[in-house]
Formats: sequence, structure tokens, C-alpha cells
Amino acid sequence: MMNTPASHSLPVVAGIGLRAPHYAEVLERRPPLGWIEVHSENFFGGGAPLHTLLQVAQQYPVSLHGVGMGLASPDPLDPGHLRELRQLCDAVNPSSVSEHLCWNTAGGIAINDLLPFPYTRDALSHVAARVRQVQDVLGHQILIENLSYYVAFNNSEMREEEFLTELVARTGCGLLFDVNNIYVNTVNLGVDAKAFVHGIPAAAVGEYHLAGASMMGGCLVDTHSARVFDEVWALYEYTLQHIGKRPTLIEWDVDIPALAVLQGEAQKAQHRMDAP
Amino acid sequence: MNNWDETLAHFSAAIRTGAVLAPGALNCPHYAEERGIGVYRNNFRGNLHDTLASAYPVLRQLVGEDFFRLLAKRFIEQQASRSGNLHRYGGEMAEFLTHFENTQHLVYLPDMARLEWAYHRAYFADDVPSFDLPRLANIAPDAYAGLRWQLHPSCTLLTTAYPVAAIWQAHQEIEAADFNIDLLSGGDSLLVYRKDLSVDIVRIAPASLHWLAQLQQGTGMGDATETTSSAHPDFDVATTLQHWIAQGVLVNFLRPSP
Amino acid sequence: MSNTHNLLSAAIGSLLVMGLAGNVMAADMQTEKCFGVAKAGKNDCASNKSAHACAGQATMNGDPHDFVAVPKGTCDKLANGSTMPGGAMMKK
Repeated sequence: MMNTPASHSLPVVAGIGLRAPHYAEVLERRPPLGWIEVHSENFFGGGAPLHTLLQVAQQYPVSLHGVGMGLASPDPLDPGHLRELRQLCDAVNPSSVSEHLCWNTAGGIAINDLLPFPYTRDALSHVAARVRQVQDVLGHQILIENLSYYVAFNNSEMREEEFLTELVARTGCGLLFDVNNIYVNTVNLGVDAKAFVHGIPAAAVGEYHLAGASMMGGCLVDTHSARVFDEVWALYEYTLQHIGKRPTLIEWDVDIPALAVLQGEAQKAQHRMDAP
Repeated sequence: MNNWDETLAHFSAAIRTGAVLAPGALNCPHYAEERGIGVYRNNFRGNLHDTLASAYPVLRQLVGEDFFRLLAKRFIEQQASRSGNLHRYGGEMAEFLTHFENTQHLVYLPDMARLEWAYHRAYFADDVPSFDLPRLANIAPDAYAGLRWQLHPSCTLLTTAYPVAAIWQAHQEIEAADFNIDLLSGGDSLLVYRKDLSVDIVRIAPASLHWLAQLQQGTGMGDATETTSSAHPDFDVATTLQHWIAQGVLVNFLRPSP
Repeated sequence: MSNTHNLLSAAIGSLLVMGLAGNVMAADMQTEKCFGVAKAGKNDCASNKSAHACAGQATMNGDPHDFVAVPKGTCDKLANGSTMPGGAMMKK
């Protein structure tokens, strides 16, 4: 059960994050897009959001990308949140389901963000049990995404890639490698990006993310509000060489440009994938 | 595990309340630690602010964007988020506004917040299967009075003291808005629910509201009909039942437990 | 109770005979609707780009504008919009 991928997996081409400003255009024009990804929680419940997504899912492979599960939270997983994710998966039949290696809730209080934590052996057992719990409820594998973060914890006992590698071994989960996130961590915290690429198990990687960040007050903030940086393209090329081709997403969440701009960024990723 | 829990609890407090972390807890080589935590503080408040702005667009227009920022800041300080899904945040706004000093003179704001939260809830409420009329044919007439009806999960019934439906409508297309609304002209009896994918705000007869409110609380159809009829002698249960089933408001019924 | 029993029997009886298509709107069922707009989902995984005045301690202290701020939006346009019912002005 653990190693079963989501019902069918994403095509190994470039896709885009689909956000509200482009719903109408995508449904009316049906432009060529390899696949689309949405944030799972925005489609919890029914009504217009779910109806829209179901129409989109008839045309394109869909990846559900969760932002609110809080896999590493000290509090128990929210059973309602899990149930809603299961309902959404049953309705949409996604090609991939992913979550972040982060936490959001302690003592009943949620911080609606992707928060880092110390990579300790205790944390690993905790997160592994919860990844198994999510995979059991969904009945298939999920991908776990590496995080961009702005401070690191001194009491970490291992690096993020070591944590992820062990998580894969313990749970059979896959990995979503966000190339931009590693670049952000390199700039802000001196993380060794190439060591990360070589440190994670290539066979477990099921998807890449690319996005653009913003330099704000001396800190590179992961705003998903710009074109992919040249340095990130270079790291993506390095990743293609050492890990291989994977479905690749252009993420853009703030100051969202015309669909054609997103398609252009996706095309750039596709060219790199197609390069000999 | 305790040490780990404690680390995260302290980090949470640093983000939410500005608490200072123990020296040496964090590694932050290229800028001040406070700068790094500042990104999380900004995300924390910004995401909740943006969520409130999305849930309360008319309230925001009524008080203006700058004032709404202050109002949201105060609300966020008092009201923790309890869910990883931001769409669940902000339901206590009406209660908050009844106590918020700077808007005490805008007496209709709590009613507006109730209406906007009902709209927001309805927008994201679950879908349910439509009413199964043939199932009703299998019920013996003796059991009718004991039937407990279920409303669509998007439904909120509201009785307001001020004419907030008109104020709300005036803010949907602000250029063509009719602001000639007398605040002292009385309140509304409203049903907010989702029909055909869009959320409707509907003025309904007080008798209908009375009856539906009791059904929503789980009162059997017999008792609900009797109390509604004594408060509203013109109440017509046949028309009302048929209407709200046809409108997708009454979606199911439960037989009385034996 | 027998009157209610008869009313409910008649109500459901006609519903079963006529179905929902035959729904005749009584005068008090005629409803006036208001229409709103679509909402974009608020859950995402990007960091917030706008500055939200919370870089420092920024909780209860430190913002002198808090205590003199007044709403400046469309509330000014409503008739009787800035008075308490009965005309009492805002307490200072």
C-alpha cells in the first residue's frame, strides 16, 4: 500500500500552478498545459471552487498541493482536515498529492504558514508516523516538499536532506523537490544546494517546483511573485542532470501575471527538460 | 519529545506575540535573527489580515482600507486561528465589533459582519445530494410530525436590527451604488444559502424564518409548525415546505428515533 | 395536534402528487435576492509580500494611531450613518 503512487502519476512535462485569476480563461480557451497544480485547502467543501476544479480536471492532470496539514505540528493531525482532503481526492482523482515538511499548530493555536523545526531523531519518528497516517487515510503515497525557511534551529541533529531521506525509507513517501526553496535557503542561510541534490534519493523524487522570490530587507523572501531567477534555472539544470527529468511546476501566487507569462516560464522548463 | 515541543511553542510565541527566544536557539548567519523571525511575523499577520479582508469585503469598504488594517490587527491579537484552513478564520468578527471602541457609533457593523460571515461560510460549505422525493413517499402520514428536516449546510438564518442586505448590495458594484439607505428604517429577515453554485442573500417572510430556524435546531416538523402558526397565524406550511424543498434549502429528513 | 397532523398530511400529500415542478409561489414566498462575487481561495504557500507593520514587538503597544483612528470609508455615505439611534453622538 505504502508505495502505491496516486491513482496515476503526472506526465513528465512542465505544468503551472492554477490560481483564481486564470480559471475562466483556462476553462474557456483550454490552452495547452501539461498539467496543473492547486492548493488543496482552497477546494475543501463544495460549491463553485470544487465545481471549477472538477471541470479543469476533465481537461488536465491535476496535482493537489496541501499547505495546511501541518505534518510536523506537535498537536495531533486535525481529523476534519484529513477527512476533507480524502473527500477532495475522491472527487478529483488527482495524479499527485503533496504536503510540506513543516508545522503550523501548537497548543491548539495555528500559525497559517509553513514553519520550520529542528531536524531531530524524535521529530523524524513523529513526522514519519503522521505521513503514514495521511497515506493510510488517502490509500496512496504522498510527496513531501522541502521547505524554504528564514531561520534554522541550532538543535537540529541532521540536515534537511538527511531527514527527508530517512522519511522516505520509513514511510515510502515520495519527494517534491522545490528548487527555488533550496536556492532561498542557500542565499539566506548558506545551505549547500548541490549537497542537497546529491543527498536525496533520486528515485523518490516525483516532482520539481520553480518560482521567483523577492529580496526584502536583506532577506530573500519566497514570495512566488516573480520569474524564476537565473541562479534557480542553473540549479534546475544541475538537478535534471543528477536526479533526472520530473514533472516540473511554475508556481506564481502574488502579482499573478497573464497566463501567457506562466506558459512562457513553463516553456523554459520544458526546453531544459528536452535538452539532450 | 518535550524539548522539541517546547522549542516549537517558543517559536510560535515569538511569531505571534513578539516573545524573545533564548540566545543561541536559532542559526541565522547573514542577517539579524529578528529579521528572519520578522518574515514569519509578517506572514502570520498578513495571511490573517488578507483572509479577513476576503471574508469581510463590505465591512472593509465601510470603514476604509486603512482603518480595516487596524481593526484586523486588533482582531488578530484577540482571536487565534484554530485551523490549518484559513477559510475557517474570522467567524467571531460580529462579536468582536460589539465591543470594539472605535466603531461603537457604527451600530450596524455587527449585523453586517454576521451577514458577511454567513456568505463566506455558504461559499465554502459542503455539497450535499439533492432532495430525494420518492423517499418521502415511503413515510407513513402518522410519522410526518416527527420528521426532523435538514437544511443545506450552507444555510444561515439571520434576523438583523439594521437594513444590512441593502447596504451589502450597494457595495457589490460600488460605481452604481445606491447609498440612499436609511439606517433607521428597520432590520431584515434573511436566509443566506448557496444555490446553483452562487451564494444568495434572500429576504424571507418572518414566519418562514421562524419555521426554518426551528427545523435547523432539530425540532420535529409538527412542533415547529405549531409554534410558527401560533406566532404567525397566516403561516402556510404546505407552500412553505414545497418552496424550500424546491429551492434546495430543505435537503433531507430524518425519521424520529424509535 | 390533530389539526397539525391534517395540515402536514395535506402539505406532504400535495407535494407527492404535484412534485416540485408545480411549486406555486405564495405572496410571502416571493423573495428579493442580493448577488455577490466569487472569492479567491486564501490558502497558499508563498510568503506574504506586503508589509503588515509587525516587524517588531508590535502587539498592544507602540502604535499611537490606534487610539485616534476613525473609520473613513463608505460609512459616511449612509443616511444617519454617523449617529447612534436617536441621534446620540459617538462617545469620546
